[in-house]
Amino acid sequence: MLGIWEYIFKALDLEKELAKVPIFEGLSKGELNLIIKYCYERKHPDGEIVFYEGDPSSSLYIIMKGAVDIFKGKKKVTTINKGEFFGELSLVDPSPRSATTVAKGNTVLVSFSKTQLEHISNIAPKTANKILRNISKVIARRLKYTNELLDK
Amino acid sequence: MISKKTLMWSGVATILLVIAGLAMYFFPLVTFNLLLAITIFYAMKPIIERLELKGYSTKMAVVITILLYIIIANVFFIGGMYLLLTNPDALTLPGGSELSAKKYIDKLDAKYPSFRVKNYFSEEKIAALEKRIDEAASEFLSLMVVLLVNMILIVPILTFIIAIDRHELRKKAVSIIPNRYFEIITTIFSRINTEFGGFLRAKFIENVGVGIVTTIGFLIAGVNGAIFLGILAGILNTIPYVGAVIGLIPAVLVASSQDSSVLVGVILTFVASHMISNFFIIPYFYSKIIEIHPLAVIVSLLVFEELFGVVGAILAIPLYSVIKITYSEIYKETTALKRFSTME
Repeated sequence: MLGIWEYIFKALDLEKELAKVPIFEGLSKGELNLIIKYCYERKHPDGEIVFYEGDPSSSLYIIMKGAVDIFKGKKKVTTINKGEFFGELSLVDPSPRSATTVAKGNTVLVSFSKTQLEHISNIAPKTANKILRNISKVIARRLKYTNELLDK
Repeated sequence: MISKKTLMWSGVATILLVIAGLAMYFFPLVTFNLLLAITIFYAMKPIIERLELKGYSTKMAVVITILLYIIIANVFFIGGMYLLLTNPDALTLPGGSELSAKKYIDKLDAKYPSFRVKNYFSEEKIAALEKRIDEAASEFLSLMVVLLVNMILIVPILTFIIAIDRHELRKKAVSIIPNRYFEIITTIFSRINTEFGGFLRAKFIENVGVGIVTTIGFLIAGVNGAIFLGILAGILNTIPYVGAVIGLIPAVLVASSQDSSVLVGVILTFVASHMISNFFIIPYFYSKIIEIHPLAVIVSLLVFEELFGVVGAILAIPLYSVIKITYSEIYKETTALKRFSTME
């Protein structure tokens, strides 16, 4: 039974996009397909807030179409574009969102949540392990970058 | 102080839970079919997921799993048939002499004269009791026929659809949630899914275990209607605390009219099956499930029994856990918000 969602996901070729995200690096085709089953697609019109600073956090978002502006207070910090991701800390850290994100143009996001990662760690611990290791790598890289900035 | 946000969300959840409760109340058969299909699906889910991980498509994984279950069911069926052929008394329903209160009391009186059983039961009392037993038996039989038709025709199809389309069904349900509330609702949704699924799977395995051990024990003890009584004990075991005892009563009644060694066998079987379930099944399968205080178990048992009858008693724990998870998640999520805003 080919559901409409399956159709949309096929059209977007989610598997290829997911493979490019550093957090899903090194996952096999089967593992990526497993992740896709637990992802949700969200459509945001231009200017819609994806989440507010201080909101409870539970999901990582990957930008499939459009872009997202990141605000700290009222100050715009950066723009994240198609193919990039944000909110990855929520997969390992339960503290609230540290910034507000706003859709720039009609944006399509794919979300993957902490509870889904927990589920995958139950049914496929090896896959979950790879994802967690990738998250650590992303965080380590960022820490190094921050340290370098501080040194300067 | 409870925040406005917590109250608002709790209100929304209460409305949704009441709607679900009303649906259960007015469509008990639909609820029964759906829940049974979901229970069977949850019991099969680990195998389906393992096959999917091995690279099988969802359809293929579901078909293989269902075939596997049919093979296992057939092994039990053939085993059961063999037992029946060698021990024809095992399937006779505890009808005839057992269902006739007068004959039963006569038997008890003849066997244990010192108890003077007949002194406690006047002729009218016995007649009233027989009438009640007749009514209960026919009610039970007609209910069984309806349930059996549903179980053979509708439940397998429902289970198949749920298993094949589960990801699409979930995604469709999630797609109608507004973006603003998407994260909190999916978090609650998946917590409930994990807890409820775990509970149904554990209960299913526990009941099948208790049913099989009890049936074997009753067959060895030589109780009339051993298979029927064993299956009944397995089903009634779903009701927390009291279910096990309720399941024992018909077996004790039947056995007491037979031989005292049969009665001892029934009691020993009861003890053995519950030792096996308490020491081996429950610690292993229930380890991931939230702890529920015994008082909460009893209160929810009474409340849901009052609302939905026997089905309510059977489902008391999962219904209670759905309600508990919903409100505790709402509280957790909305106060996380508050903590952060007061920090600044």
